[in-house]
Amino acid sequence: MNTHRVPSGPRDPYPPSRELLGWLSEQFDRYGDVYKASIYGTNVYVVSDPDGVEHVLLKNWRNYVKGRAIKRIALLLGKGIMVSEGDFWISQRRMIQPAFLRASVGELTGLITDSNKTLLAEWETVARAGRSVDVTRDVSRLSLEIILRAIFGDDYGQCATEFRILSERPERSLEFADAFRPLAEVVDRVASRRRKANRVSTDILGVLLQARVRDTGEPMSDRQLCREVMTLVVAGHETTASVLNWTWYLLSQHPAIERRLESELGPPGVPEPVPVDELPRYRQTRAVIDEAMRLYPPGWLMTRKALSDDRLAGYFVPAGTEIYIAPYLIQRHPALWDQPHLFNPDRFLDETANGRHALSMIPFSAGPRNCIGEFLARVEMQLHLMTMVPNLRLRYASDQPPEMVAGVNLLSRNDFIMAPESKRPQ
Amino acid sequence: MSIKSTIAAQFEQIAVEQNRKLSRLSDDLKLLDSGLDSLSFALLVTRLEETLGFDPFDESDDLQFPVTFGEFVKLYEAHRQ
Repeated sequence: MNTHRVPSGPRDPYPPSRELLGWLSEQFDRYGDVYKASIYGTNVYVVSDPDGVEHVLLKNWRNYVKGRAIKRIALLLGKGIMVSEGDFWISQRRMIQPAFLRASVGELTGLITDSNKTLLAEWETVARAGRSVDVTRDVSRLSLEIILRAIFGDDYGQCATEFRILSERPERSLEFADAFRPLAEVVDRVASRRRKANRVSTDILGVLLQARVRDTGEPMSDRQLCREVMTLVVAGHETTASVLNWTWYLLSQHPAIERRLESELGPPGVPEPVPVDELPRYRQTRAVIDEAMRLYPPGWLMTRKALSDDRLAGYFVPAGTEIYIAPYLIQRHPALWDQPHLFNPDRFLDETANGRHALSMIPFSAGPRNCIGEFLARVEMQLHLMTMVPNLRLRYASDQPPEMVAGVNLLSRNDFIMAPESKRPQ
Repeated sequence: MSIKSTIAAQFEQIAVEQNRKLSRLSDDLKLLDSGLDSLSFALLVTRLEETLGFDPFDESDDLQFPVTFGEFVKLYEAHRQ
């Protein structure tokens, strides 16, 4: 047995003039579940086999740190929870986790519903005027407002204007980074005021201010607090907005599925907050969200780097090798999903779903380094659909099929402009 | 090879690889005007870490992001010392 067997793959390196996701997909079609490639001057194994993914993200996760692609995030957000490693990451995760537990998120359903009701009123006004809405922009504004209110609570008004840049400038360019970094001062200002006033709050910032390092009993440093808040704002905003954007597009293209969703959610009416314990009852709604995330996972690519030599799917992994795990490829894998490119939420209702490999669906990653905000994101997306779908439909006004842009997140190249149709009597 | 020339060589290498048109590197060149995009800078910092053995952005706890090429070089020079 050749213990140093390496996977096959393209001889030529990835050409940067090509869009990376498209190139990775082509190589996947040609070389399969595990292939080797040279990408950005680095040896990479691209892994789309759930067992291999499980090995990297769960079974031997300590051997894999975040890959080089994380530098792009690090230069924007600094060494926050997404970027940090080792004991420091464990300590930070412990301190931040309580803000995202079920009970904490359960306290947010009122504000999430209120923000959605405001947007619903805006869209109904536009519907009555016979005009269109920019869904991409509006769900971005919505998810930004929700995460800012969740973090800053009563101090939301002190931050809302400055942070608007996140939804107004969707590109994550150097110019954006230059304008975004100074917002750490806004976080610092709010945190300082609270400390001086000895104010204890139950919002996310309040949880972080109260958190203590387990070993020392010290609070998080001011600098680190800012980094974590900035990370939570960006991560909590963009991913949810991306899924909602694609969800509305998919519903507009599949009226039969939309009608079933409407049937589950009931007649038009004034939306009320739904306790998180009741959310699992709405199976169609959850299936629609899962299916949208399957087809368009916001975090379409995760990268890791092997610290030591390892074996993966029968191949030798030299230390330093980068591992690319693309949820986009895995979640459209023809051996894992029937008609993988078809929008079919039923696949999440089907009993056969129980036999599916757990790592065949990883929009929030998996293992110890999974997304800390998964539960909040799921609640937020579900409450959005539960508020909007009973009361209006959105019609896609363009004949053009949408194009994807696989940057840091999976976005639509152009905003979705849609015509709302209100179902509530005026 | 000085740190400055190492950095300049990597700017040029990354620009070629990423098909970016690099501006003439001078101390007062703003990084925003250099021609590199955010992905290029991520690659640049990674390559410099491999070449020089450190990443000042990773190691510093209190860091202002440099605005000009000269400041970028100084940051690396300061961390080398």
